Amino acid sequence: MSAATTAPAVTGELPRSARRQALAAFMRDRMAVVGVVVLLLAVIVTVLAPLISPYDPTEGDDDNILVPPFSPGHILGTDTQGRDMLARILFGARLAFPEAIIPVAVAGIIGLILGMIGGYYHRTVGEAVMRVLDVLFAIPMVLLAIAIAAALGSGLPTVVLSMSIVITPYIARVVSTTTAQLRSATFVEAARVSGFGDGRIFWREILPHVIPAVVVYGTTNMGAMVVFAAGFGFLGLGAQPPTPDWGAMIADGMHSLDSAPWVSTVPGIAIVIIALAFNYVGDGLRVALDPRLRTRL
Amino acid sequence: MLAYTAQRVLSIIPTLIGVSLVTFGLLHLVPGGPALAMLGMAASDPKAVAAVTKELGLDRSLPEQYWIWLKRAVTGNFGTSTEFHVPVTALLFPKLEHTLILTAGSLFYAVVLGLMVGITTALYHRSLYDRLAMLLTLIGASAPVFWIGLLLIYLFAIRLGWLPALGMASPLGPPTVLGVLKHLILPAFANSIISLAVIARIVRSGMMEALVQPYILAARARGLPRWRQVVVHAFRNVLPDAINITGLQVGFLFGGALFVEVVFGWPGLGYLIYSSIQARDYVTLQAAVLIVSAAFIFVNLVADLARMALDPREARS
Amino acid sequence: MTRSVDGALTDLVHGKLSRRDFAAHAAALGLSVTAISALLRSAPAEAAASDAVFPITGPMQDGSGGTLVVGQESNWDVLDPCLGTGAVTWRTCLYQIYESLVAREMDNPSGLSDPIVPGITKSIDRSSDGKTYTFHLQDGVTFSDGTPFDAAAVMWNVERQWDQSKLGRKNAPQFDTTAAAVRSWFWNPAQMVSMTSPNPGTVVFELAKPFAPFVSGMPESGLGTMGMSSPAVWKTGGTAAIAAHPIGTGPFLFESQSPGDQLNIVKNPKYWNPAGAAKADRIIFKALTDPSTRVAALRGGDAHVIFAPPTEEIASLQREGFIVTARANPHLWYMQLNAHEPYWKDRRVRQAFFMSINRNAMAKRLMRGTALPAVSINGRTCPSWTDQAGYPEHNIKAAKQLLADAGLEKGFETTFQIPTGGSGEMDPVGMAEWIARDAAQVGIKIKLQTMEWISYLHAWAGGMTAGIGMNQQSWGMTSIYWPNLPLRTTSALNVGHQPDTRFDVLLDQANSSLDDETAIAKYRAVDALNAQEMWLLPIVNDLAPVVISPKVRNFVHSSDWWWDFKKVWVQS
Repeated sequence: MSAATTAPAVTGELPRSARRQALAAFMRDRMAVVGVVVLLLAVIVTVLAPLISPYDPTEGDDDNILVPPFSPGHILGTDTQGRDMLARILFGARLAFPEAIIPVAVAGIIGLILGMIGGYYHRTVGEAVMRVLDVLFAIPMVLLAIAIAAALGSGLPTVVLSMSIVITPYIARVVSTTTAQLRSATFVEAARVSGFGDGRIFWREILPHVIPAVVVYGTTNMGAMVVFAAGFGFLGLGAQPPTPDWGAMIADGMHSLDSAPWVSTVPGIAIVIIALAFNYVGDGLRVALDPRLRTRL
Repeated sequence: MLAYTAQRVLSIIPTLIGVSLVTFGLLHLVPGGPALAMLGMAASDPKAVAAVTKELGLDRSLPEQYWIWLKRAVTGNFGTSTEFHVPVTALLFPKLEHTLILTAGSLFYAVVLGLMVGITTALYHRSLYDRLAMLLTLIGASAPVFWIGLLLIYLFAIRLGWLPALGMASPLGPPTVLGVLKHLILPAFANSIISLAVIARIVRSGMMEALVQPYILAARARGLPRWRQVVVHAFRNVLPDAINITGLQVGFLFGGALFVEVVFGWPGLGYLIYSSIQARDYVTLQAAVLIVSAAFIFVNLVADLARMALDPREARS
Repeated sequence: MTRSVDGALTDLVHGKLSRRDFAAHAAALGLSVTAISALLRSAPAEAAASDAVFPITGPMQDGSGGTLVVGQESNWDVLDPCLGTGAVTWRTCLYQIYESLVAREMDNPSGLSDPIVPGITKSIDRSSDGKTYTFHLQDGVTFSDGTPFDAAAVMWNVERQWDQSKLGRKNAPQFDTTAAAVRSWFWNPAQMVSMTSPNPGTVVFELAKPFAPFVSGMPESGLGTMGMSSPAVWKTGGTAAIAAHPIGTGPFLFESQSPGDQLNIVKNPKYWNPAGAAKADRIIFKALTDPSTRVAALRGGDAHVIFAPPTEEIASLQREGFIVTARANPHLWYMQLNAHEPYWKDRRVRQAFFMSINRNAMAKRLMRGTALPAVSINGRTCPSWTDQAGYPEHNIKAAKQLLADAGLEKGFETTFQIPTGGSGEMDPVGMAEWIARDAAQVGIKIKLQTMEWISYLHAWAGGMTAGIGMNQQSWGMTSIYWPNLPLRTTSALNVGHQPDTRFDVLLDQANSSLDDETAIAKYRAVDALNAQEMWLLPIVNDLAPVVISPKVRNFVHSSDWWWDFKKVWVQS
């Protein structure tokens, strides 16, 4: 997106009416609403998993190994250890959500700080910050993540940490671009001329305009994060077994794709549904928070 | 423009040094060094492990090790792989070539299909076709690549038997161009899906924006044929954004080929990086990461310059 | 004892013979271990739980020619006999190019005869004091570069891995630190003091004291072996030259490779032993690390043989006409307990834990018959293997009682460190999950801690630290020597810090035996002692299933870690 076309999107704090307009715009996007409903349902189900799950997700049944879906007692079938797929999907969601949300939140905050510095002081400290981030940016994402996970051992904290490190440069970039544009915006110039300190300018003038960009970026990428986290599980770097992890479940089922395709298909579909819902919500938010797009579409 | 280009090219150097430093530091955080990987279960004798560690020069201080590496790397000597005992350059370049082939194939899908889908959905937007196409690309982009790859293999290689499931060429007989192209179809498609979706969506929204601009409306009023309105006028407006995003995607396609390479047994750089981590082959890893990063930076630079050349507003700012 | 196998099987079915007696009869009839287990598993008593019975061979037919494509489950590494450490490197790739100073017959379908067979060494004499070994070399053997294989070549190869600095001597120029490290497990205990050659056809090895596993340990490991490489190649450019141009005496010649991807070897037309010459024209090894990729390659006709198929796909592959072979080999998947953790100090707790694990069900259900429950710490092809070592059967009630006797009726919590994959590891995570579930039944709560393979090796080789209750490894040898590695109190691989020096005494007695019978008896005593003390828990033996295309001829499943492909050919 070039500077000239993005700038009008962020020319002032959203007044209450604008907020209402944004909400209305979001509600008009049917798919985004469906996405929100799906995600809400998924969160409720996840929270209630211990109550509604038909089985213990780690308890296998030797006599019911690789039972196909729609069998009595196992609506989604069982895996190679005779564990109920539905139970594992439900409990797996308890990992999938934090694995997607926490890294985005962590990277969002760090990226916000680094990006604002990078964009505002772009001739001094900011330049250095952005150069360092360029380095992280240039290292293949997958390699960075795998190396960190290999160094720290597998598990949820590792996944969260390495994903945060990997996505921080991206968020910082978005923030720095927006900040650089705002820096020369009239209302920031005005604030500077009135003698406000940098701290106040950051807090009052820049932050409120940068946050929507981060929120939109974060939400649109949340779907990718669900997929990315599954990649860790797939490579055996995710949660400690027997904790159900969607990516690890796909890897498990890959071996029996021909004889028991459901073992890897079911978690794959779960990932697609959640990622898709996030993507639609992200789209809806982007349109709603960008008045220019709102009027056009 | 020329000064800017020179400055950008020069700025690659410190970034690459930074990349090599971070990689170096990262590798030494990973437990179990090359000595252990080389000895495997034979590491029963701590003295033997120490002797091999010394032989590899890994008993020196980290700054010293890095300095030695850097001095050699500058002269083009990247050392000998501890896993295969062959010079790293001899190991890397064939793999680089394979990954470039995969990247090119993926790019072909991403650009051609991405543009096609993006333009047509913009023209017929809100039609059933538009909705369906957007849903499908979004589903593709929301699914793990390794999973999509698996489904493609299952469907087209195992069930239907139309396409080969793995590798770059049939192991029997010499490789042929046609054979490689045939082997490229599935992995390149799997690798391209996310980029395809991204390009399609950018092009679609850009086109939709452009199609209601006054000059298009004017062109329409002048009775210009629809395809000229679309191709010549509207598309030209979208082009800078499309090139920019494509440039970014090249980097992703190149660096992100790992999963596809593993699932399709494609002997490329991503897979080499993955197996080098497992073998703690630091020597190979350092060089491989440097190449991937350099390619990534270079591609971004070219995309930037191309966009500037096409969009004069950008060049002035 | 001259009954037929069928007769014995009939008696077993009709309940006239106990299973153990049947096994003894069958063994007396010369059946291999796998054949016995296969027959046992087909008996009605087991019919409900078992499904798979795997042959040892594919179709046998005289002939030659064709290109065999082998799908490997992991990368091979260096193509150097001293340095190639991955089991896969030796198991399949290198054994075809190089030959070991001591050869072992691995492709005899009718079972194990004397495992040491004449190869490039014709015969071996041992002196009555057990300290001098005289190797008589085969005449007329040449390396594929035309240089002769003689005593000088043997000594040159040994000096590459035998560290003489311990004897106060200077090492030879070709001495390689890594090669010595890889083979230190053999040369350190062997305590060789001299190596001489009275004539070009003879090499004499002199040891400081008797070392019974000297000959059987030679072809052993997976970690660099006594494969003989041409000294002339090294002279052209050292170790790098060997890796780039591997030259041995074997039935195949190196042609080309793309490291980590593909390796091509072709038939050696000038092989020294025409009777043992290669049948196939060419073999291509492909590294296909992903199991589903290997299966897809087999189905698509891009591979003729694949290793380590996913067990879930075995039944459907068989239905499609592919042949699944399997065979007992030295493999043992075992666990070690951390003696420093207070709850393991009581022997009854260790026994109770072992008894809680249903190894039978694990082998049959989780591994789908591709593994056997282990009944000995010795590999199933090792002469000291026995099913009489006295390991207790799975028994939850008795296990609970033992825990109660030890004052731990409420159970306890512990941590199990395991790799996510690795050489010979089968399905470590699935198996660990299975074990954790079984142990929970007696109140032992196991937390799993998974690690990537090399990180795991790092932690494993360092010995278990506080808080880690148990870990796991897969290994085993056809040589009697192996129990020295995990059980000797002073060994670095006694990763659980087992403190019982009675093991050391028995192992010393075994190694200094002057005849094989005594050595075997002593190693069995080590096994029996462990069956009581339970520091090392034998879990399962992998039958190492392999899937072959019906086009492959004369394929015999190996009885060892390594494979011999010289008799195999492919019908076009």
